[in-house]
Amino acid sequence: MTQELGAEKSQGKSLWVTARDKRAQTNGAAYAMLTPWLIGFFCLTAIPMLASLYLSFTDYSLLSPPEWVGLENYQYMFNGDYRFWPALNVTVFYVFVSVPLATVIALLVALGLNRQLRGVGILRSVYYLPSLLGGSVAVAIMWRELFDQNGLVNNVLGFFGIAGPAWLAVPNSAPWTLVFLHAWQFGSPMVIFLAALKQIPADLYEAAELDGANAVQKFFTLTLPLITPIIFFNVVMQMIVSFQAFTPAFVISNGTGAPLDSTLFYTLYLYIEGFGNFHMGYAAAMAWVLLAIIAALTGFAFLTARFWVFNPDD
Amino acid sequence: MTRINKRQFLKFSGSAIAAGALASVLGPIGARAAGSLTVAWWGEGDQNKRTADAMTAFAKNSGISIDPQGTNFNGYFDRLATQIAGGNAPDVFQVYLASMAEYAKRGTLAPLDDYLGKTIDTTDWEDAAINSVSLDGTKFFVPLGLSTQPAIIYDKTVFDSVGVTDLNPNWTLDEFKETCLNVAKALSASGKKAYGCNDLGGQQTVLEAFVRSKGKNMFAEDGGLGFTKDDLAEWYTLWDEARGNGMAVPPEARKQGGFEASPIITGTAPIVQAASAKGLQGYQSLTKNDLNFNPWPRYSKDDERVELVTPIEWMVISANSDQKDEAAELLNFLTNDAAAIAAMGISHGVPVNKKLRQQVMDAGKLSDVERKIYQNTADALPYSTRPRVIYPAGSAPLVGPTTPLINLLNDQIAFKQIDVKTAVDRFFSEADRNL
Repeated sequence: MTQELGAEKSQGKSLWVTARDKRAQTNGAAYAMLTPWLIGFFCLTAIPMLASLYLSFTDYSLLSPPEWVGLENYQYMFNGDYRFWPALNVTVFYVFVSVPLATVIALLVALGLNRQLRGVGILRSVYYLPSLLGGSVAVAIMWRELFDQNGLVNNVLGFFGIAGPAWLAVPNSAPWTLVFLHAWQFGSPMVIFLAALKQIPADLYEAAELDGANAVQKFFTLTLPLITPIIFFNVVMQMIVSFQAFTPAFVISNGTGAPLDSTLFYTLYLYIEGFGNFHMGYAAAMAWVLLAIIAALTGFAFLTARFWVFNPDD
Repeated sequence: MTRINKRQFLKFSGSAIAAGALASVLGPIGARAAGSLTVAWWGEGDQNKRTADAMTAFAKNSGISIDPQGTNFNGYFDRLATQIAGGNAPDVFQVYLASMAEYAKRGTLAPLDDYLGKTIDTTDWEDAAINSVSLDGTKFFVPLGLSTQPAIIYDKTVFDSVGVTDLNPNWTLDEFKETCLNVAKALSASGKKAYGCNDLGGQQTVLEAFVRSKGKNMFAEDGGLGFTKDDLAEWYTLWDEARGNGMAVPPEARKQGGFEASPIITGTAPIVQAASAKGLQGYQSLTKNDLNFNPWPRYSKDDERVELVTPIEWMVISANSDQKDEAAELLNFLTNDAAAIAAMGISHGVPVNKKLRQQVMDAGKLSDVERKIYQNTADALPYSTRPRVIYPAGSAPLVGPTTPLINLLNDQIAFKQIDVKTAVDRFFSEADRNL
């Protein structure tokens, strides 16, 4: 390459310019193709993000122009807002309980479905269904009905002679219903696990069997280490999404975070502050702190990865 | 073996975050029909259809075309604030107590001094309505209807069944407590644990009735709180004791849900409150028992009976509207025209126009529930002599609709997380920050 360039150069300026034009031409074409994405990126992502960063340093009510207040929003958040820490607490509880739970369930179901059985395709689809419904409002409403005082859950419990509590009216149980809702939607990690399990070469298992390994040994010494990259991926992705969970808490608590702020997810509080209490500048600051928290935890996950995630290059 | 490249991973997760953030920022974008008057309001059940019918009647009479935007309460104010921020405010929109001053203070509302009393005729309005149109000397707000606030609702059938004397509208706070305890005891004697009244400690309008019964106000004219720490401590203590001695529903006996989960429907307690009198409809639709109103009690036998008849919803005109005259005509129609009242029914309370209210009552076409609601206002008017100070900007977090602090603190006391003193201090320090 270097030699070629040198050759061009030695042949004089004109050729060099042509080469640059050619490069500009191809680059131009590439940029033209990228334009829709670039417009989207700048108008819908970069500029709004910068605007929100600016707003986080202002007192902005949505109704009148923002006023610069410096770090006041951030100071108040860490030192004065008595609802901020509980909201963060609930969210962290939700993430750290529901993500491992959903991951374990997804892996177990994937293991169960990773066999050649008649109709296994239908089973896989059925298990994936809850995730197709996603974090939708309809699912959250259904969940609210299930855990209603006279809902299905308490009816089933009643069948066994157990009087179920008002799940959503008691601060101790309300956040758990949200955790279960998340755990129930294990479809996407499950599909990814399934794909990973199918990629494990069968000869590895054959070799293990020849050595006399039983099913449990095969799982812990072969399967599990080999899919650690996928576990890592699922956990990190779910963590990111769970920190931003909004719809279930909004629907189940009717937008209030009740009872006693026990379902007041971070994003729900952000929303209440921004739209309910006219503190949009503060809400923007909260959004940036959330971004920092997610970035820090993701970074931490990558740091720990080298100790437990299988890397074939090592 | 699948390996995830760090860069790919970051790219993927980065765009996932961005997409999530974006989805939460972008709400529905309302397009504006050119030339017509856009009107935004909220309502539940058939209220939206009724209000839209009134607008249709106006459009037919006046030839002014209307783009009605009725929605549910949930999401209404988000959308409104976004529309205003984007310069797309509706010409006319509905506001309510906890945030209307915010809109006025921020310059988003058109002053109506040139319209109220002129295009919008106020000749026959109740004083309670006229007293609610101004903020700091400027007229902004056009009341859509009147109601008592709070509306204390009780189950007469239940009280009769246990032989507890029917409620006296002139009762005192002590008599209220005694009545609740007696009915709780009588009802519980039959086996199922019951209480006298719902836990009203977190209800802002009931707290307001309490401080008014002591001769004070929820908010002072200067925009601060109108009551003292001692008043609030007395209030929270009242309910703390009530939850402990069986007078009021304790937290462990709470049910979740709307009207159908209310103690007055489930038989847990025969006294509850509604934000305004039209709430009686919701309760009455779920029971055959005879429900009725009784005012919040007098503070003591030496104190006057203090009630509050007030508008519960107002319409305003956007400062940016280029059709203010037409908007004012619409507001005059909604408040002073028999056709509008007939269409709206009691979806915004009883008419602010005295003559129309009398006409409706005399016509005898009201349902049982509607008649009770009309009668409730008529009964309360003589005792509603002190108007309410319009809630100042910044009152929404304290006493607004979404987890107001007043309610959160009452719950925290109920669940033994904090004591009354801590709650009171917290309320006052948050009031300092917001008001």
